[in-house]
Amino acid sequence: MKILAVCGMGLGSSMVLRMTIESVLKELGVNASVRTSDIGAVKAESADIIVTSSEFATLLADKKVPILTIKNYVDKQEMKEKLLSVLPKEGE
Amino acid sequence: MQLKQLSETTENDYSMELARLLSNQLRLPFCEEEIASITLFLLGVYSQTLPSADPSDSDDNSFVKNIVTDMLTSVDSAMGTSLRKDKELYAGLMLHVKPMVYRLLHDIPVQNYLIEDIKTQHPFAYYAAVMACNCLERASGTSVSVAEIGFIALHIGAALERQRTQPQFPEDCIRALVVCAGGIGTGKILQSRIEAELDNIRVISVVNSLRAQDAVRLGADIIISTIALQDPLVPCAVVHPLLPPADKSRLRDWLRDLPSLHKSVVSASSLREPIMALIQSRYHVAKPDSVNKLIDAMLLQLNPFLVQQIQGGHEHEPTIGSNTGKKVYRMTDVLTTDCILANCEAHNREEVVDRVGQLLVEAGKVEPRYLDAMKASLAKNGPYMVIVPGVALLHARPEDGVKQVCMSLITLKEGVAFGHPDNDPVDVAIAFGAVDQHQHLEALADLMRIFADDESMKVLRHANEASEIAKILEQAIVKSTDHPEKEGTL
Repeated sequence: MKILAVCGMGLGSSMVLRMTIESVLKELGVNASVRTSDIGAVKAESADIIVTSSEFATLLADKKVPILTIKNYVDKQEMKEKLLSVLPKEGE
Repeated sequence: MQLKQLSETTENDYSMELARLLSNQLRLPFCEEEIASITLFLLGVYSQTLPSADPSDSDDNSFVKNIVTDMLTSVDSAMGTSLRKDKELYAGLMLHVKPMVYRLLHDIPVQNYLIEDIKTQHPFAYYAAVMACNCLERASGTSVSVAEIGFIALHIGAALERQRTQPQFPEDCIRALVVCAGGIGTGKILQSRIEAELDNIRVISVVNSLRAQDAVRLGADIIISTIALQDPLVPCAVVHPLLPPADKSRLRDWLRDLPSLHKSVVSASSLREPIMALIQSRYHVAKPDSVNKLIDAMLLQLNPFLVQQIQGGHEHEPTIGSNTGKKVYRMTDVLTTDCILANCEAHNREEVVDRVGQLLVEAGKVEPRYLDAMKASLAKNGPYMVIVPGVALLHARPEDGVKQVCMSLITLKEGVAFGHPDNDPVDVAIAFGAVDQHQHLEALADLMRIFADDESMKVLRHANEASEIAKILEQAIVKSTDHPEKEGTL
């Protein structure tokens, strides 16, 4: 399972996203690798799930994987709900 | 050049082979002219091997040799230089001129993005290159474009810089690997500029960006690159290839602030013996010399990480990242009271960037242009930087003028609309500067713990003094560290 956090520069917001995702994954006991990317480099990346903000989500529409748009980057509840909606169910 | 002459070049063998493969694949025959045009393109591309290494086409080489010698002689006699003695220049030009002649004879254009900089900043080298290219024009019977002259100027400029440079390096100099996008010319001139301008740096090698990871193997302390690199293994600075004064002073500041270079380097030999002793206490070592060599190689690779381990332990020393071995900063290391301001006034998001960014400029941690880069990023990427309701996390890239890892925070008297559909208005703005992808992360994680803590955020928004905010931040960190299960394990 590969999760990709995407933002404008791959330095700030996506790093924050990654931290929140990793913390939620740990809580859920889900094993996945979380990487960060900037919106320019994301075309070259492969992922099973993409996590980003709504404005980048529209730019990534051609990616054939679930794209989660996050409002509050540090809200673990929001992240958990959105991740659970796309994570494979057999772990539960 | 005639078809017959082309068919005698080594490159022609390759294009014949290419044509054969292609015609098998496509089931189309290739005529002689087609093959010749493939040969021309191959000839027009940089050859990475020295012509002299291949004795078989000595005629071809002697033609190039004569041209290069003529070029250098005419510059030397007209301008009083001694370029002919410079073996590196000669070798570089031999490599460069051979494909260049083919380009000239067959009107294959090249682009040179540096040409204006070369002309204005290195007029002497450019003028010398014009003279050198006169020889080329006479020999080839064609005219040489300004772009081509510019490339020759890079080679000559590098040679002139070499002559100015004292070859003596102090023992404790910093070992730098110069990385450039692909060519040899830009990297070489950057090397010469570094060696001429910064006397404590010794350039150990010039490589293209694909080989940047060799830094550790080559024993480099730092990388100085003309392009941004993904995850460099040693600290990396990105500069313009001609190292203009602004970049030079930025590089100086960066080197001074680079913690890992205040050397207490573990020299390979100091650890070799104890490691060998440990091995020998458990195993019989058949070939001690070979094992010693392997230990040295291993220590060389470990060196960048060991340096930092030894430096840890001071009270205010930033902590060590467990997985990267790089220096990481906690929020309290970087977000100092002078970088906090309460109750600011701003009317729009640009003014917010100015207020919060100015704190970093005044603290000497970013260049003023960093503010423009942050605004440009905001304009380009939209308001996504409002990552938490009411909170904007503003930043640009390391190469936009960051001198050191830094962070600043302001609270706003009245909320400002950033254009975010959910998280507007913004009343807390953070600006940060990163130097790579790692060193700012721990500070960012600290900040996230605070953002996730509603209670701390509420107090923070009501604080009237910078010192008050600093205290709140510190307490929030302590709180989240004391109760990691409550705050989550970010």
